[in-house]
Amino acid sequence: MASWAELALDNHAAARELLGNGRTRSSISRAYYAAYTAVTGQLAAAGVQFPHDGNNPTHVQLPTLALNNLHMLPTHRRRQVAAALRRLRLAREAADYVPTASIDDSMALDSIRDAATVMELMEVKRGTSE
Amino acid sequence: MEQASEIADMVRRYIGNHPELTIPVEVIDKSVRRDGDFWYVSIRPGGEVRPRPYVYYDVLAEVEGEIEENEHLNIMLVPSG
Repeated sequence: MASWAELALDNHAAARELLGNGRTRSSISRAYYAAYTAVTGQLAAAGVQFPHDGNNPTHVQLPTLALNNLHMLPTHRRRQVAAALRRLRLAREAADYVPTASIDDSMALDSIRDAATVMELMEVKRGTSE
Repeated sequence: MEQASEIADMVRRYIGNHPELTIPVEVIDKSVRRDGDFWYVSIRPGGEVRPRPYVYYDVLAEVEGEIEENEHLNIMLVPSG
């Protein structure tokens, strides 16, 4: 069994590897999921109930849930997390669903950095057990 | 209760407040739909997003956040080709 933090770390490692292998669009997609899983882990730890008795939040809800529930962070940091989640989600949707979108290595790098910032704020790091 | 055309115009207005966007952005009127608490609005860039494509998504994310904060409306911008 893996923890949310382990999923985040795995997604982030995959994003970096995919970029290194020239799989730019897939790299952007994994970067989003690195942030998604990191934030979901903190929300679950905070006791947030997800809709439909689900295991995880919907993509549309996540920024607002982060803004309203990550009380271990000051407001400006919660806003930072919500903004990063929105950027990452928009970039992922373009990478995954829009063949004509302008996608390049810089976009994957920016996504990977954004996800790393979110993970740092969620205190996801190697050796994290939760 | 907002109408779809009002939502589209609002999104256009907020996008227009971001001069750092160096390309026009088309808001696709017929795409606007409501699902629960969220309005979904498809947008497409009117040209190549260069030199750094992520700036485009950064601005769109800011627009979503600004509308939520100022208008108390949940908007999901959906990239389209």
